[in-house]
Amino acid sequence: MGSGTVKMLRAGALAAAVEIGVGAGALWAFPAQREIKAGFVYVAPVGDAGWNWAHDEGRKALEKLPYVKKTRFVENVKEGADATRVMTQFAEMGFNLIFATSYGYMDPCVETAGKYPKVVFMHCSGSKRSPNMANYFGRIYQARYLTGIVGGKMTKSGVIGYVAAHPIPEVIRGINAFTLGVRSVNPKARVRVVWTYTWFDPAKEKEAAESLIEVGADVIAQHQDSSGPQRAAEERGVWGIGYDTDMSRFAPRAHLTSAVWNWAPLYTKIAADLHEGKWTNEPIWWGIETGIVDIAPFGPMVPADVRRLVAERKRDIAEKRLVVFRGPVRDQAGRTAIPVGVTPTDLELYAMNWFVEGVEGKLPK
Amino acid sequence: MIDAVGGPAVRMLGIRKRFPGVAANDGVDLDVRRGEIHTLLGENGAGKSTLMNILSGLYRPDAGEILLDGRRAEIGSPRDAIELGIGMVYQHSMLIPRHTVAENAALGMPGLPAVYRARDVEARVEETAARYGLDLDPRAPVWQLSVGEQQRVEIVKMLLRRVDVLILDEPTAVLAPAEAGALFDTMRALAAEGRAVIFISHKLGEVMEVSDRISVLRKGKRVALLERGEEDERGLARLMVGGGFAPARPARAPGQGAPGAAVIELAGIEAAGARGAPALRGVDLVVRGGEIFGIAGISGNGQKELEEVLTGLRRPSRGSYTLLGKSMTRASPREIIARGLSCIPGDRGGVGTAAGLGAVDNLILKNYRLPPFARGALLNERAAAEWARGLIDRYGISVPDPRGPVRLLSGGNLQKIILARELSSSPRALLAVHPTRGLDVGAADGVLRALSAMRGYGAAVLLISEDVEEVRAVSDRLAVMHRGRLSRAMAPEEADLDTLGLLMTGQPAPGLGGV
Amino acid sequence: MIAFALVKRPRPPRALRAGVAAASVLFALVLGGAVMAAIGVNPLGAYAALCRGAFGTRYGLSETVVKAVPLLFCGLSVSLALRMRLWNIGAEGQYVVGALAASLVALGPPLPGRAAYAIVMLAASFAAGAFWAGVPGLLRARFNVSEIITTLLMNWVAIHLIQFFVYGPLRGADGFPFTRPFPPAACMARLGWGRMHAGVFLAAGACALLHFLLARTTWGFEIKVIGDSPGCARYAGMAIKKNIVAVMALAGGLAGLAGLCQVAGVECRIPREVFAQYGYTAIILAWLARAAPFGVALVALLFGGLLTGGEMIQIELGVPLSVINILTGSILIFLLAGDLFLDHRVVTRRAARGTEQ
Repeated sequence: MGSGTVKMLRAGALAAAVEIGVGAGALWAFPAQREIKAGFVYVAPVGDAGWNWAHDEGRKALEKLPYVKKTRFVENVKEGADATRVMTQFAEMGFNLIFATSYGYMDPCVETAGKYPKVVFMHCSGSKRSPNMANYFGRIYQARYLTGIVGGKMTKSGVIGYVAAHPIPEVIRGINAFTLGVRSVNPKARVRVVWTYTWFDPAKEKEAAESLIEVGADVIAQHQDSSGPQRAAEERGVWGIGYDTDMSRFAPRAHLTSAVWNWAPLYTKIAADLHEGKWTNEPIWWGIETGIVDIAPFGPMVPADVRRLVAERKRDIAEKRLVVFRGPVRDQAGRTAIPVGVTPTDLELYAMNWFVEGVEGKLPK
Repeated sequence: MIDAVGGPAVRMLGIRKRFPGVAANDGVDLDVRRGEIHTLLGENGAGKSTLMNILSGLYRPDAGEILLDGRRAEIGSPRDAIELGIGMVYQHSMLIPRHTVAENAALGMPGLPAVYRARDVEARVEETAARYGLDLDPRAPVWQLSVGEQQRVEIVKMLLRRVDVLILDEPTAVLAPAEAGALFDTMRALAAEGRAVIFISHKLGEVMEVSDRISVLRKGKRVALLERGEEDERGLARLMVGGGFAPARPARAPGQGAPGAAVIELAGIEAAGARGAPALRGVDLVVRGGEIFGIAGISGNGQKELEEVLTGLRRPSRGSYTLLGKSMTRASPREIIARGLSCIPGDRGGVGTAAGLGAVDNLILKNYRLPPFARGALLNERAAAEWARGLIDRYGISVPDPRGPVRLLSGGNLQKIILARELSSSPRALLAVHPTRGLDVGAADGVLRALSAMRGYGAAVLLISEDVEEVRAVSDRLAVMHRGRLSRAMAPEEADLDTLGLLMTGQPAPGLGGV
Repeated sequence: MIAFALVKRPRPPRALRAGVAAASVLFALVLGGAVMAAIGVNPLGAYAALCRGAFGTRYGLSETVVKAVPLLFCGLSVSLALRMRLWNIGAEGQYVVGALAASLVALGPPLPGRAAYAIVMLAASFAAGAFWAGVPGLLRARFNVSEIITTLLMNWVAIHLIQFFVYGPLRGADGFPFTRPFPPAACMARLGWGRMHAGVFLAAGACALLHFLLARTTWGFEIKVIGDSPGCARYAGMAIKKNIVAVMALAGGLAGLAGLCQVAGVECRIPREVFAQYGYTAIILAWLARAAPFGVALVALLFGGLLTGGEMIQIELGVPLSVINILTGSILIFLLAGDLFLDHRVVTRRAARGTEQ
């Protein structure tokens, strides 16, 4: 057991089943840090929009804190062995807070955390912890549900295209939440999924969007970090729903809204906790009520009644009156996947590997 | 020496140029007048090409100066040379094979509009070619042309660039006698117009025929400047080689024992050429141990294909090939080599040697798998170097650096490397294709002596050559090749020049039943 | 006006080579330094960080070596083919199938002990790479199909193949596209210095062996002759077609071992993107090293150092990656340009005009 305060798990049983290291299931505290040097590891270049850019906005917010002495980032670090080296170099250079912002950094993060117990490691979207390593994420699926409502209201053809990145639970969860949102207002609509197997490949992702438009999709949603799909929507005169950051400037005539990240409040809190000696390795999975996830401002084409409806639903989710995945939810084949009234656990959400009814697409087996 | 009309067009003074280990030009003076054909005569390695490469901007001299019409000129690149009115036609074509004659000529043509107009250029090429009696189709792609035609394209190209000093580097080495005659007419026409023509050669007969003046180079120095008719062939040869050398070809030795058993036997050999057309149309041939069998004929009549069939590089489509009693019709080159055939290939730089490798590597090319060069899979570098040193000494090969690429060596030295390698295995059969082509008198003589020495050892020697005199001089029996067929074999005494000439051009020779 | 022209040197002086290479790197450092100074970063500090990150610390040095291992194998692969004037553009694909084959062994039925894993994985990755390059070799030998095209296309097949496995049969339990970790016996022994693994010896051994093969064996002699003059090699009785297939297969096998070292030596699993452009980088590597094995080793270490040192510049000075890419890119361009000036000399065209005596 650690010497710090022991709290109840706020984020549910998410991490309980996959604990590693000493003191599985326990919360570990960490001594207060007078000064903080924070290192960020990004999986792609920061660019001017997208996942890494959103994280970098969070980093910039950290720099404003008086006790944060400096922040640095290393871009375009491959998942796997390269990440281990970068994190080791950060630790060697005296950084005491390291943000590893891609799922594939998980095992390298565990490995490096084991070697540098005096450094705090924060791993985004993962499931493993150790005394000086925690994980964090945001419930972006809630924002996706809301953008789904907009898509469901705006489609005329009843076919919505979803340009999907990699067939992993995080992406599947997003597609499902989006589809539930769509069908909450347009029960006949379908969401067609195309996999690109990329996180950032503007040309390929744009092409995938175009293929969806060819088969009748008149709204294009996406999971990748490039604006390729939005550009396709703009060029072909259909609607677009972006991701990561507000993508309206890439598609001013097409862009309805985006599901966006805002890491600043969370990163600021993590640094403050560490500075004040309140940091623990408790997993963090914040929801829309904290502002970590949200939807971007609506485009001018979104009618007032839709805006009102989305605002209402957002309030419902924030105040827990609406839970996105609460049953009944049927799977692609129409079988009951989540019975009436049942809310899946975070662990179940975390490992989601099936599509809800209304999704047209295949998961590789 | 000053020409009354206004001095020499080109004057080179005290030109020196050293390459690692060799002084290629050792203070050479040369002056060339307008309106003359000035011949540079010398053995391979005498420094002719180096001197002309300096004049055409390929090399820069270490010392000395060049005056053009009395003004000092620095020639830094071939392009400078062209601008100054000096153009060189090299031995090997520098044309782009896939382009047409006109397109090739257009490269570097002055005053060409930005948009290429084929018809204009073709017209200019046609007009220029006609004026100097050069027979050319401007629309033909270059790869279809014979070597002689390609040479004409090069000349037209130079003329279109308004060159008034034209250098021809051993142009006749690759030409048939009739083509050479036409070239000389063109050269005379150019000189008559007031151009200076510099002609590099070591064929004494043609030098006598065409030159107005002759500069003889030997070992990097000019040893004589002769006016037309000042010396006869013998005298020229003596100047070229130095000392009292007189070219003497090895005479046949009829009493040297009767020819032995058949070594190389071809029966009804047919084979297709590179483009699939039939190149050999039923060749029958027997070469016996202890004889030299000569095949005369103009290049391109199947000689290359015959060489390839004999060395295993080309499969005959019909017929049989027997070497020392064993069928080699479907054998690989390696099996044929192992059976005992040595070959001096027609293409010295592309086939006979690996041009980018050193003399040592080239000398062990055929026995690198045998002891002492190979110990199992390992190569014994020391044994190879020692062996190479021995051959270099024995054959008097001049090699500044045994590891440096042989491409830098003169043709004569290259041929010596091939000879040394091919003869060192004491072959039972020897094929020599154009073995003296491009060599000077001394080197050619050495090659022919080597062939007759092999005959003396009892080897069967098959000599394929374009040089009729040479074939007649050294062969015990000979035949003429024309359009993929061999004429009846004859004794040299029956084969007078007229008969051979008729056979070479495909006309039936009386009483010989040729073709 | 002075214009310049390039004239081919008859024979580049050997002594110049090292000097020109050094000058090229220096030019690149000056250019990169100017860019960094322009964005307000002290170039000297950056270069100090680069050296420290790449070679200056025990850990950095070990990482540079680890990074150089797959580069070295792929560079040897491209170089070997290049010796015979064959272009192996497919080292990337051969690397990928080598990694895949090793992983299939590691994740397959258990084998008795480290040695068994080592031998079988080595054989599997070598064979996979050899097959992947041997097919283009065969096509080139039998039908004269350009190996440039076929090896390049095989890369895509390899990448799709490994994606199929990583997203399909080999996918880890959590549904994410990584394989599960290899059993410890299937991972290469570590040398107790950073992440240096047994593959470092394997690579060094391969480098020395290839040098020996090329310089001291009859097969190396054949490769040399065929590379210089195929016409002459045929005439000398060398089997060109067989050698094309053999050389391509061996080249592929070497690249396959790069894959082995990466998955069994460093990652101990297949990560999502095992393909890391090593195979393409290797082409530049082989070119710079003039296809000489020890030269490849040297350049591979330099490249490894640029990668690890580049990260250190980001960490210490907050320089964005794009600037570091400008730096490494200009080092490459200057090195290649330096090569050009080794083979050519510049003449000013003013000197060419005739001047009054």
